[in-house]
Amino acid sequence: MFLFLRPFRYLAQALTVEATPRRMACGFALGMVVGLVPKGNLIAVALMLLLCTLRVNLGIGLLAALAFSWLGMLADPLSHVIGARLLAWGPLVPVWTAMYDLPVLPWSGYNNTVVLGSLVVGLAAAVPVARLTEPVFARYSPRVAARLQKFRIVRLLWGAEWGARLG
Amino acid sequence: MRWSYLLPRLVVAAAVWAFFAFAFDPLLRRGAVAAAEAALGTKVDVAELGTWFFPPAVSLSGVQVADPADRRANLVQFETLRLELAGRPLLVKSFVVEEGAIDGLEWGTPRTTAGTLDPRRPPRGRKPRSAAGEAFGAMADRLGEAGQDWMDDLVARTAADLDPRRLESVRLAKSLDKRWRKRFQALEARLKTLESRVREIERGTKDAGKDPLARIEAYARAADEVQSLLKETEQIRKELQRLPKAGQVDLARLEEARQRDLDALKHKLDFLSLDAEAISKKLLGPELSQRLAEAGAWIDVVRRYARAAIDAPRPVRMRGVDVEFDRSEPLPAFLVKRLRVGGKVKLAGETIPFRSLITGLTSDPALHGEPVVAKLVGAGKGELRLLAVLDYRGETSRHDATITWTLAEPVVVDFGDADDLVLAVRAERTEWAAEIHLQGDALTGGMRFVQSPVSIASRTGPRVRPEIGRVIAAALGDVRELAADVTLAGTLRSPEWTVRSDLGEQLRTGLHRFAATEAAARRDQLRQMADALIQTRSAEFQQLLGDRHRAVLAQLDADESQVRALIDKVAGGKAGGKNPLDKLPLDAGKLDLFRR
Repeated sequence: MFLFLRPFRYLAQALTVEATPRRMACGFALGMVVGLVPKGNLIAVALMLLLCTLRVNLGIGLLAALAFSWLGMLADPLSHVIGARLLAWGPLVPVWTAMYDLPVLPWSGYNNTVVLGSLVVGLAAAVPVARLTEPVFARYSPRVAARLQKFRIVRLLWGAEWGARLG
Repeated sequence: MRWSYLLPRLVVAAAVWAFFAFAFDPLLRRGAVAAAEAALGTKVDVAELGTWFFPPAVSLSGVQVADPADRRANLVQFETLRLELAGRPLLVKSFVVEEGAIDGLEWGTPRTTAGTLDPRRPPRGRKPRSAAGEAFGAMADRLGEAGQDWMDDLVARTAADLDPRRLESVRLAKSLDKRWRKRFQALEARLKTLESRVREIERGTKDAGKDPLARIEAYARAADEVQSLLKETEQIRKELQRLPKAGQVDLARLEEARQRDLDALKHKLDFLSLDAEAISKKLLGPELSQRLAEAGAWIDVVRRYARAAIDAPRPVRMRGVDVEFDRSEPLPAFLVKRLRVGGKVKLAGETIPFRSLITGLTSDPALHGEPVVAKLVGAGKGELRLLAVLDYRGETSRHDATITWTLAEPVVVDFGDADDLVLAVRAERTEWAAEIHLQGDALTGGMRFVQSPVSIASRTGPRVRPEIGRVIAAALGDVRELAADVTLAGTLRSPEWTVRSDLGEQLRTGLHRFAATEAAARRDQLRQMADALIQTRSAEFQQLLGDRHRAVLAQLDADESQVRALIDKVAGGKAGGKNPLDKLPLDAGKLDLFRR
């Protein structure tokens, strides 16, 4: 039974490690940026790698990415306008042009109006969102953890140690 | 080492590897299928999709695109597709295929599963032909119709022009026959009258009684009558002597009528030669229309696939707009440097294997600087060669295609209505070469079609008189080659064409020759008929005249003897050596006429 559950426990641990409010807030902000940016380009892949690499809460980050993937589409018109203006802005055009000539960078999709716009929107909103969500996580995460502990499956996956840490 | 940090990252890295190892290709396959189905609106099957990163390559196998009009058939299918991509351009998001290969490409193959996205939705029905296909198809239809019109016209004209009843010479011969018969009948009637008058003279001399004076008087009257009869006989004889001259005059009239018939026929045949194009269309129509339709289909296929490759549809779910920037070494987003294609193609009802090479297929022809060139060689019963140059570099696209097809096997084509006239054309070798240029929508070009040697046989049905079939067969008998030049013009949607061929001239010559031979034969026949009529009748009449007049002469001789005997009795046998009959106004010499 435990041998069978071990991989799932590892996965649960991977998602719940770095569970301080600050790291949860950072994970949420980074997940939001990942969610906002359209997928299928290297920027999205890089953001995803960043989410996985940085010491932020991965579970919260993935949940945020999932949620903002849907919400991000609603923001496409705004992202498109911002991205189009940035790509056409004279001082930046040489930069974009130089980037376009470099290997791999064209795969980043930075020359797409929505990709660039949503990245800018996401990055601009990341710090305020992290700041705003940190107290929320500080206040509500112990309560949520306590409630989750009541579920047998959570206890099985997280184990007493991790449950205690969350608590 | 902090496992709490490392472990999650290792798990994610393993997940990424697992994704590329096991899920990337199937997901890409599903994505490709979904995109193709959305773009084409029909079921697309891809059995396998594989990707390689070092060196970058993509392969597809078992690809079938269902025909929207027929659930049980594929629009196109191929066994494998492999594209080897250039690595450096790929780093800057440019798909440059250095070498590609499609094998087992076929069109219109049967499917084992239903080829519809929604089984409840009925098939679209026969797919509308593309602009080119439709236009060329309509062109082929009109070609057939024009040819059929000519065929009907030829039968009707031949029936009318060569109808013996409508020839003046024949009509004249008939009227002459009637007139000459009447003339001979009149002469016969006059001869009969002569006979009856001779018998009357005979009766008059017998009824004179015993009185010598009365008898002398009767004989004197008889002598007058005989004189009159002799004059009448002389008259008939003279008329008979004039008959051959009159016959010659009538024969000359007959000759003139024949000449007029010949001239009229020639004029009509000359007029018929104006329809040389229609003749060519009819005789070459089935082959020409098929070749035109095939040429149209090829243009269509090449245009459609090249255009599809160049105007790759924008992904439906793509968000935003890609802004292109200048590059120091500009590259098109998509370029196929060399693509080898092998498969089977249906041509002239035959499926023939082919190999082709396509170069320069790109999304940015102006940037690439070279046109798309497609070369195809197919070899089945016939040999097909296609060279297509598709130039999209300028504002106006230009398509140039050269197609040659050679079939060294005999081809037999029957056309016509079995009830009217069927022409069976057998060609030992067929060659056609087409050069088609399309600038924008403006179509120019031509097609040369040759079948040689050919033999044409005709069969007449119950609705056509055998002699008409004989005329047409004779006219077509000397045709040894069917050759036509089709000149194309107009637009792709509304092509115009003219057919030039010496076939019409060949036919006209054949008809002329036949008409001349026929007319000469008919002239001789008529002359013989007229000569026979005049000579036979004349001879018969001469015979009749001779027979009857011998009888009349005999009777007159008898009467003369009686008269002499009577005179001898009345004069006592001697009258001073003078015969009293000599005083009668009877010219005995003329009686000799009867003896002659």
